[in-house]
Formats: sequence, structure tokens, C-alpha cells
Amino acid sequence: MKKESKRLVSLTVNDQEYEIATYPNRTLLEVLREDLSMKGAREACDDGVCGACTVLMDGKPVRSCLLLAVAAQGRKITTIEGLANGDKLHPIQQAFLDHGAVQCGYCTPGMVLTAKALLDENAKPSEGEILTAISGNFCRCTGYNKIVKAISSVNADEQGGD
Amino acid sequence: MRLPYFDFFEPSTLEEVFTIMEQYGEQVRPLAGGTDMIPLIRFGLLQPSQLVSLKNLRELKGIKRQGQVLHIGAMTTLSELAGSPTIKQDLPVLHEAVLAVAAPPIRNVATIGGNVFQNSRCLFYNQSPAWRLERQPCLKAGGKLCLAVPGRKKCFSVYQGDVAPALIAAGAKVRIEEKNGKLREVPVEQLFTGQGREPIRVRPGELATQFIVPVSQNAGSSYKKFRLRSAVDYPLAGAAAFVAVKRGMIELARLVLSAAGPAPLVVPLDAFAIGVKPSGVELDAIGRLIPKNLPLVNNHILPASYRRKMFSVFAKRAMKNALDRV
Repeated sequence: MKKESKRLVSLTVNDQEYEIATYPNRTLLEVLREDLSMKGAREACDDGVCGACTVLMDGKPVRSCLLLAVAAQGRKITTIEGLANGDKLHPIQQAFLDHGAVQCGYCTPGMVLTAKALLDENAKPSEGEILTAISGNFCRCTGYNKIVKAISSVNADEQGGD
Repeated sequence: MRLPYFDFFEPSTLEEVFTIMEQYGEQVRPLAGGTDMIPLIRFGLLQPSQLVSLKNLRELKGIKRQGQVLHIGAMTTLSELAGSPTIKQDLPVLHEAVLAVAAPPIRNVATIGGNVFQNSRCLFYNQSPAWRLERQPCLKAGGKLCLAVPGRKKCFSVYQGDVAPALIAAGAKVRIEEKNGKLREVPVEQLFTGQGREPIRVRPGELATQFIVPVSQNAGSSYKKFRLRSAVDYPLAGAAAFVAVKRGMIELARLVLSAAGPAPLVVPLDAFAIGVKPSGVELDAIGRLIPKNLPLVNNHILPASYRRKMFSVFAKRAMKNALDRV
């Protein structure tokens, strides 16, 4: 019987440091949801296709279902839980609410984080740039129109960024 | 679905990588971005006992230009390549191929080395264990017979990389290193075996470390990709075209197809374009140069007959674009 051993993994999630003893075959998505109780990143296709598990790594959207937790060490992870400031929603979250860009909500955390990465780099993206940015995030409810409207409505000044 | 257990190494020098690869032999797999390999491991199609991550190897990252040659580290992400002004300007075929891969969040992690070394794909192979449990294993998964063409003892899986055809069209080489500083450089097309079961191969203990791409003056190039959705999808037909011109005449012309079989397919263009003016190329004739007997069967979301037709369409578009850019 092969010995399976855990290792210490230190992760920086939403500016907070965590030390977790875990197996090397666990994905970042599993560790976020099961060890850190951050359920914002969702498991859907589990194959890297849909984008429901999107988190930001050093400010860039990535698939947490395809990323081993050990491989995320030393990188800055941002999840949807890290966006709101107390009870005050992040402007992108507020824009999604205001524009009715949420229906079932399953894709929303990934969509909002992808939008954040886009707007942090490009405060006034064109519709084409928005569509390219969210091309890896599937939404099966909204038809994308309201999501695009929500993202383009976010005022660069109030975003605050980081 | 959980990944099965594997040991994980994160060396920071190439020598350590080679030592680990020597110690574990066929059981160990090098891991680049993981966007191709993790799904394969999850589906039980790859069962490595050890993964050796290449992410801490700084020497494998980045794009360097030396005169008329680009050195691209195998661990350079596709997003970095897409954002490189040099590649956009001087190697549009590579720029377009990289942007055609998957979607931005995948490209932020996926690497050029991993993309070139991706496995071939088939609707009867890239399936969950539950799906495959209902059938006997296919040839590629270790079985005795192909499921796509029942009874055949040949694997019809398709290599669907976008980047390798672009590299081949641009005349790129890959540097392959092994222990004690030994290395060889071979044209990218020579990585491919032409066998669907194992489409791409280097010798045990070897690792691809960089791609060496010549930058030609007076050249034009382009990559065109046929797929159902405008993002995420693998190519159902892809065409990389490259032409170089000297004294007003084409001196070099290359057309490389993706998803045309188990390896990128180089279509000979010598009689068609060499010594011809770029404006004199008879684009409609390009379809006739594509072999009629491509080993395509109904193992992808569109039928083989349709995919076969699309090659001439996309080859023509890519070649037109390349000629316009000279």
C-alpha cells in the first residue's frame, strides 16, 4: 500500500493567510470550499469548460478546478467572498443586482470576478472587450445581455480596485 | 470528481527535474499549467504516481529575442504570448493561434509547452469513468479495439492543438534537454508520431524546454480556426499559413492543418506557390492540395465529411490573410 501523505500548504486568500495540511491531489476549488468554507467558487463541469469555479490569482481569472492547491502557494487568491466591504457590496456586485444580471446565480461569482479582473486593467471596456473577457464563463440563464450591461455600467471611479 | 492520489514535486532547477524523472521513470509526468493534464487525470485516462511541477523553473519562462530568432520558454503562459507585441507584429500566425485557444482564464495558466504536448482527443476517449464503464475500453485507453470505428485496430483520435501547427508553419524548432546538460533541437513536426494512441513523444528522461522560432522579414502568416462556439472549443479544423517573399516572388510557403488527424498535417505547397507573385496565387486551388484521405471519422461533434470540407475553406482564408500581410 502506497503511503499517502499530506503536506502543509500556505495560501493567501482575500489578503488572509491560511496554513492547511492537505493532500497534493486536491484542487484549489476543493480546499476553498471544504477547508476554508468559501462556497462562492462553484463546481459545475469540473473540466475547465464552464468558468463557475473562477477565482482570481494575482488579479487574473483562473479555473480553480484545474489548479492544484499546492500550485497556488505564494500567489494571491481572490474569491467572491473578498469583494464586498462588510454589508456594502462591491460596485460590480451592485451593478449585477441593479441590472438584473443574476438569475439562478450559479455563474455569478465567476462572472463578477472575471469582470473585476477586466475592469482593473481596463476601466472603460468596449462591448467587444467585455464579451472576450467573459467568453470563458458560461451563463445558461440570462443570455449575457444584462451581464454585459451591468459590467459596462460600473463607474471606474467608484470601483476602488486594489 | 476527486483526483486520485499522486506525489507532487516542485523542483526549482532542471537538474532536479531530471533526477526525479530518472528515479520514477514512466510513473512520473511533468506538469505545466495542468489545464490539459488535470482533466485527463480526473477521468482516469492518465494515472501518474508522481507529478513534477515545472512552475518554479524560471529558466523555462519568458520570451527572448536574439536578432531574428525568438526563444520562447516552454512554461510561458499563452496569455503572455498573446500580450507580446513582438509576436503580434512579427509572427501573427502564432498570435492568432494562441488567442484561438480556449478562453482567457485558461490561457492565464496554460503554457505553450503544455499546449503543444496536449493529448489527442476523441468523443469515445475523453469521457468520464462512468461513461467508459458501460463499454469496453477503447484502443487509446488500453483496450483492444477502436470504439469510434468498431472493430478497427487503429486509433482515430485527433490532435487538436492550435499552437503546434502555427509553430510548424513558422518553421520553429523545439529544444529538448536531458540530464547533464545534453540537448537536441528538432523541428516541432518531428515531435509527432502520427499514431493516435501516443501522438507525441520524447524519449524517457527528456523534457522540452523552449521553442526557437525564426522571425522572417517580408513574410506574412495567419491562423484560422473552425469551431462551433467562438471560445473554449478545440478546433474542428484549423489552418496555419505562412509565406515569405524575396524580390517580389514567394520563396517559402507553408500550410499546416490542425485536427486533420493524429498530428498536425503539413501540406506541400511547392508547386502551388513557390516562385509565384503573392498576388498571383490561385487561392481557390488550395483545397485541391489537401489530401482526400485524411484519417477522419465520426468521433467529434461534427461529422467527418463536414470537417473534411471545412479544411479547404479555412486553409484558403488563412492563406489569403497571410498573403495580404506580406
